[in-house]
Order: sequence, then structure tokens, then C-alpha cells
Amino acid sequence: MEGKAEVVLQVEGLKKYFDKKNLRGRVLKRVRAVDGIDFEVLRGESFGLVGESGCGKSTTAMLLSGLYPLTEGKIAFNGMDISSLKDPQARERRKKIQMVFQDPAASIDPRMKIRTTLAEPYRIQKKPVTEEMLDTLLKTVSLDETYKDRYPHELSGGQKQRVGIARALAMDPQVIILDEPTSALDVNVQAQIINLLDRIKREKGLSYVLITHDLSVVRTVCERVAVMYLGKIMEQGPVDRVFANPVHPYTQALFSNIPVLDEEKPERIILQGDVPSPRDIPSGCRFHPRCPRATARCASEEPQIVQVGPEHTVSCLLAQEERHE
Amino acid sequence: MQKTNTASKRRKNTFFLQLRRNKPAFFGFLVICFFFLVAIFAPLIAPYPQDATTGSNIDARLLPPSSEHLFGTDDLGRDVFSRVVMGSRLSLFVGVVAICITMLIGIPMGALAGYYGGKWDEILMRVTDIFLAFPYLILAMAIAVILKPGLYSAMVAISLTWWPYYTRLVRGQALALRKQPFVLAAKMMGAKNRTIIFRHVLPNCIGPIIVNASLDMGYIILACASLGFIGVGAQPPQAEWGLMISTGRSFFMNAPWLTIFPGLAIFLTVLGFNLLGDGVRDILDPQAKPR
Amino acid sequence: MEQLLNVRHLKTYFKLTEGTVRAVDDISFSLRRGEALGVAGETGSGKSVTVKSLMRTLPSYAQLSAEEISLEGMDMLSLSNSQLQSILGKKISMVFQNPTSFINPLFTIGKQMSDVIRCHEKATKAEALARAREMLVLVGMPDPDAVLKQYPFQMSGGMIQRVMIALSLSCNPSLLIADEPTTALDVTIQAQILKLLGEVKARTGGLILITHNLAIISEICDRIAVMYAGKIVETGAVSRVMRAPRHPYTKGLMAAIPRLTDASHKLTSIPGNIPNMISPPEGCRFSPRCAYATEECRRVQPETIECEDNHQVACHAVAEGRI
Repeated sequence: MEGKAEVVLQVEGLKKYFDKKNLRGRVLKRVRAVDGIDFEVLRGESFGLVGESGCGKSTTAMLLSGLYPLTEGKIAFNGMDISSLKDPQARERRKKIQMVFQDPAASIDPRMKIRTTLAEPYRIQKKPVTEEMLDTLLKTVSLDETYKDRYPHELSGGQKQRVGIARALAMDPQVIILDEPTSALDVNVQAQIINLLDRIKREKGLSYVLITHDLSVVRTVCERVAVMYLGKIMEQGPVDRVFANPVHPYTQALFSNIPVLDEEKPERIILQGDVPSPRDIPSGCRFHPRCPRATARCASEEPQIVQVGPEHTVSCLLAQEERHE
Repeated sequence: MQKTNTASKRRKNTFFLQLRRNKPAFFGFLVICFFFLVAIFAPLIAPYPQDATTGSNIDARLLPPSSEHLFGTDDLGRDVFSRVVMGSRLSLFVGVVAICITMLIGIPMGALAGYYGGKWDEILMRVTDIFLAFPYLILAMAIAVILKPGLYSAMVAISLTWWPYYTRLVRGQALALRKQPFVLAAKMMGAKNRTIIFRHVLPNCIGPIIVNASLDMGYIILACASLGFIGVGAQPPQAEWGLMISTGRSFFMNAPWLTIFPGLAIFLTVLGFNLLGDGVRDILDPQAKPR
Repeated sequence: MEQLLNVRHLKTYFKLTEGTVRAVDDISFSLRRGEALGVAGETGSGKSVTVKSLMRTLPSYAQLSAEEISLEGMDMLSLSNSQLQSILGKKISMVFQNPTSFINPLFTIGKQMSDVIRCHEKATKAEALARAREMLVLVGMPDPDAVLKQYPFQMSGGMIQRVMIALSLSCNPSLLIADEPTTALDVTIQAQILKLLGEVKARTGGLILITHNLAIISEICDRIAVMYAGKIVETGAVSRVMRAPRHPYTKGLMAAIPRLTDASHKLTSIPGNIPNMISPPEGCRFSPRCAYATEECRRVQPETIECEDNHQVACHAVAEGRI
């Protein structure tokens, strides 16, 4: 790989609207869950997608994984379009994108032995499966082969999550979407899973798309991050830069709001009010009603994406103005 | 919270242990076992098995219970005890067959509606609404007119009015299951919808289905007896409990044993299935417990 | 400073068919007036059972025993159920993780708040409503009059948590217990609620905050008690414990927390799992997972010792000066 790493996943102008229509097909209500986002995931990197509830990060995960059809935009995998859910070729390619879910208890079938759960990917692909293959899978996620004959309820949350990861790995994926993989787990188990994911990524040269609300996990796991708010990306860039020097007022507030162990507490920027509903997105910059630095212009004009540093972009009028000066 | 479904296997192992501990359910279980044994060995138990159908003995009409005729005899001189014993075969047969037909129609429909959603769901749910709105007695009468009154048309009538309950039950389960991560994961691996329904959706519906079926057995036997009673179910000379009550009621004042014993048999089987069903629900699905 | 709450040798066991779960096994702690105590621990450490024991809202199969539980010098153990009822909500009030399930969806906020106030204090409806409004202003509700007329479904989770905090403060409680009050909330809303809790803690006699998030404790508490498998393993001033934890478990827990500011921080995790609470390890509960465990640790339960001023720890290795 010379210079820039290869792009595995490319997302352009991705939109997902949930419409409530009347019988004649007229749109009565429109929820703009994802409202035009662009990003790239490089081979071997972890890309973090963070935001609060309702920001569209989970919808994005569902779009990437092909569980929802998208409204507009394009998702390309290894340079090939996989936007269509119907196209059989796209479906075939999409199998190399797998997902690990938030709730470990619900992510494996409670009625199946771990053996059956892990053999399922092979069975579905009509590939032969041997005991050794299952053992290897379990070993990759640091479980021994005795787990094959257990039922999910005999496993702890962390162990179930390991099985979920092993099942995703059985598809030999290139990209794994991690949807809040550790938020249902205790701190210590979370650390175990994070380290495990990190090891697997290095061993297999995988790419991760990490969907989370927890910025400290992003800090530990990811190389690049995008901060979402109400269906749009507010700020995007390398983790080191974004964390050291957040430019968007929302990112700044978000970072300052996280409780930290350090003795020196950062100065808190307390945002007023709640996140507005994606059913009713504010005009102009969608963050302006809560933004401590909003001007009159922010209420009327939608900001463009501007570059503020190497690979570091924000969508904010203030940053736009500063750049013009 | 996360213990709800996951502990199903351990429950299975201790299922009978738990059933033993739940006294009413265990009683119900014993009653049902008793009736099944009676039904299996009916010809051996009944002193006059031929009385269940053709036999008649005009000399021994309307005899009260005695050591010779434990439950007395009816207006044609047939031994009521033999008829009740032989009748258990009919009732349990009807119950089992009707519930099987019901599940055979109801479960696939429910799985389709719940899993696919959208138009399928809309259409199927309206169809169930129509069937649910139809009183089974009237439907049975209509079917009896079209086909011919008898046990089989009763079974068809009951099944036709009963399946929508299963459709709704399974639909609700499937609706919740199709959003479960393990189903989504199977989808992402490229599993066909049919595979997902058979491997993930239906097996996870089994618990509630068993609970419902064991409760419904009682109701179905009761419904079958009602149909027999009004004359569109079993036909004389069949020894069906409802029919026996129906023919016995004209002699109720001087020969109450004609109605009391078949009535008692119906009461006990229905009670047995209900107690067992409640117990099974408590064991399989502790969250559904009232209180 | 005056003692507000004193708990000595509290044991709460659950009798199950599989055996006895020793959820809280002989813990002692105290709270001084005006102090905020953070109770930290993983799932199953017994932190929630501890507060339920204080409030005696345990299920029927629980067995509680203690040498002393006293609030403001009053013996809580000898109280009858009805006496306890009158204390809960007035002297001790509580804020929960999922506030929506503690609020009735059929009545307005104003109605519910004034009902609670009138339940504990003599007040007319109008007085109680005025008091409720005052409380909403106190918790920084932007439009208190509108909120009083609203139904719970019209409000967000963060707003309802604010209402619950207002409600819990309305009778000037001696003790406020907050059980994971921000776990269900978004980061920006969590920051609002934490700021609020920090501000209102002065209005109560004392605060007990239960959480799995050590950072939250470091934000608003004065003292911390770290629980592991039904025992308090370490307790002390937040600044001391956070800066220099002594117990191997606390150390492990701190090392497992991802850091926001320090990218070089490598996550390490404690090996193994939390013990089975029906037959917990003999000796120190943490010994099977502890790198410093000796034969003695596995056999004998450690005494709680004062390792420095205002910092206690229950660990043989610390007592022997090995770590």
C-alpha cells in the first residue's frame, strides 16, 4: 500500500427517510433519520460514528449492513456499488460486511447450542464445516472448545458477545459494524472485549465501523471519527486531531460533558434543552437552537462542509467564516 | 431481565420437577394422564364396549347406578359407564385432531404475517378478524348443513374458528423476533427468509404455542360437546359426552345419572387441561404470571 | 461532623431453591451530614441491594440482618412497616435509573407532585402546587408552569429525571439516594443532570450515589465505596482513592476504563469473572482473580484496615505492606 490506504467502504450522500404515507401514497410525516452523510472507511482502520440517541448512527449501521433499503445516496464496497438490496451481486458482496450487536443476550438464538450458532454461517453458505473450524473460531475469541456444547443462558454477557463476534468472523468479513458492542457490559468486561476486537482487527486486517455514544471507547479503539447530530455529520477527522482540537461547538460540548476520572475537570459546556426530534429538524444549522455560539445566520443558512485541518472537516458556519477571513 | 427466554433449556430439564412442585398443575397433569389411559384402554375397561354404539337392552332401561352398571343405564338400556369410558376416545380424539388442524393453519399464517409484515400482514389480519367475528356454533351449523352433521364437520367447524387465535399469537411473536439481533445476523449472512422462519422464528414461538394448546384442548372438548348437545356434532348412537347429556336431559328428573356422569367427565377433562395449561405457562413463561 | 447514617454489619441474603445468595455480606459504612458518598461496583456487586436494604424495599424471600442501621440517630431496624412508609419519601428519598416507570402516565406532573407533597406534609392543594412549582424552578426547569400541566409522555427522559429530582427534594429529605440516575440518558443530558445533582446535594442532609461509572463519582462525590461480590473492598475520600487506589480490584477497575484525554492509556482487564454468590470464594472474595493472592488470601477474609487517613481497604497484601 503506497501513500494512502485503500478505501473499503465509501458512503456518499447517504439518506434514509422513514415516511408515514396515507393510502394514496402521499407522505404525511417524514422522519429524516439520516440526512445526507459522506464518509470513507479505509482498510484496516476503525472508523467511529458517535452521537446521542436519535442522531441516526444506528440507522446508518442498518443501511451499511443492508437491513434497511436506503432512500438516496450510494454505498460502495471495494469500489463496487452495494446500494441495491435486490441486486444479487450486491447481496453477495455484502456478505463480507458483518455486524456485532449491542445486546449480547439477544444476538444469539437462545434455543441453539453455541455449536449450532457458530455452524450457521457455513450452513447458510453451503460450505462444509468441521469441528476444527468451530474450535478455531472459538479460539480466536478466546473461548475454549467446551463452549460448543453450551446454551446461551449458561454464558455471561461478555462470553455471549464473544460468540457474536465469532459468528461474524465465520463469514470471513472485511468490514465489521460494531453497534454499541460494549455498552451493555461492565467496565472490566468492556475492556476485555475492546482488547479482543483490537487483536482480531490486527490479525485479520479487518476494518471496523464502531457505532457508539461513548467517546472514550472511540478514543481507545478508532483512528478516525465522525460526530453525528440529527442525521448529519457535524465533524469528521482523525481521532487525535478531533479530540485534541474539536472545532464544532457541538463536538466541543460533547467532549466537555463526559465525566472523567482526571483530577482536573474540564470546563463544562452545558447545552440547554434536549435533542430535537428528527421528525422536526430545525432550519439552517440543525444544532443552532442548542448552540452556545449561534448567530442569526445559523438559523437560516445550512452550513457547508469545510476543511479545518488535514482530513479534518466540520459543518459549521462559524468555522466557514473563520476560514474566509 | 435477560433471563426470560435464555433459560429455556434448563427449564426443560427440570420441567417435570417444576410441574411436580406446582400442585394444581400436577393434579391437572394426572387427570389428563388418567383420561388418556382410559381412552387407550377403553375397550378393556368398559364392561359392555358394544353399548358405545349399537348395543341396546330394552329390559334394562334407565336403571340407577348399581354394582352391575356403575353409572346406571340409559333410555335404550345401554351401560352409561361403558359409554362414558368409550366416549373419552371421541373427545380426546376430537381435541387432538382439532388442535392439530388449528395449529397447521394458524401457525404458518401467523409466521407469514408477523415476519413479512406489510401487505401480507394487513390482509391476513383482516381475514382473522372475519373468522374471529364468526360464532363457531353458527359456522358449525352451516358446515353441518353443507357437509352433513357429524363429528367430522364439528371438528372442521371448530378448527376453522380457532386458527385465528394461533395466527395472532404467532404473529405477535414473529413481529418481535424479526427485529432480534440473532435474526438480523442470519439475514446478513444471506439466510433465506424461509430458513430464518423455520430455524429461528418458529422454534422461539414454541413455548407460548404449547401453553395455548394445552389450555385450548379443554375449550375444544367443551366446544365439541356443545355442538353434540345442539345436535350438529356427533350423531346418535355415538357415545359422545355432549350428545349423551343432550339425549339424557329429557330424563333428568327421574334418571339424573344420564347427564351427571358425562357432565362430570367433561368437567374433569376441561379442568385438567386448564390447570395443566396454567402450570405450563407459569413454568415456561414466568413473566406472564398474573399478580 | 455529625453522623447522618450509620450502617454496621449489614447482611442481605436471598433464599433461593438453588441456595442462599449472599448479595450483601457484612458491610459497614457511614455517612456524615452534608457528605456525598458514591457506591461503585459491577453488576452483581450488591450495590443496589445495599440501598434496597436501607429502604427495606426487598422482595419477600430476602433476609436482612444488621447490627445497626440508623438515620439521624433513629434506629431504622425497629421501625414498623407503617412508620417506615412515612419515612420513605420524606426523610429518605430516591431517584432511579428509569424514572418513567416510577411516574403514572395518566396524571399531570403537577397533580403527581402535589399528591406526593400532600402525602407527607399538611398542605392545601394550592400550597402543594406552589411548592411543586418552586421545586421545578429549583431544578432549573425552563417553563415550570407549563410542565405542571404536562403529562409524562409529553416529556423527554431527561426532563422526567429532573421532575423526579425535584420531587425527591420537595420534602427536604435527610438522605437522597440516586441509583444510576444518568445511565439511561445521553451524554449532554447526563451532564445537565450531574450538574443539577451537584447543585442540589447541599439541600439534602446527604447523598448516596450508586453507579458503575467511577468517573461520575469523581465528579460529584466526596467519598467512594467500592463494592465487590457483596463486600466493600475499599473506601475513602474520592481524591485519594481515585489518585492512588490501594485494593487490587479498584486498581484493575481503574485500568479497565477507557480514557478520553490519554490516548496512550492501554486498557487492561481483570482476568476471570465475578464469583458465584451462592458459594463465594472462602477468604478474600477477590483472591481467585488477584495477582497478589497468597494462601492466606484464599483462606482468611481480610480485615478492613486504615491504610492512610480517611482511606480504608480490606486486603491482606496491603495490610502486610506487599503492595
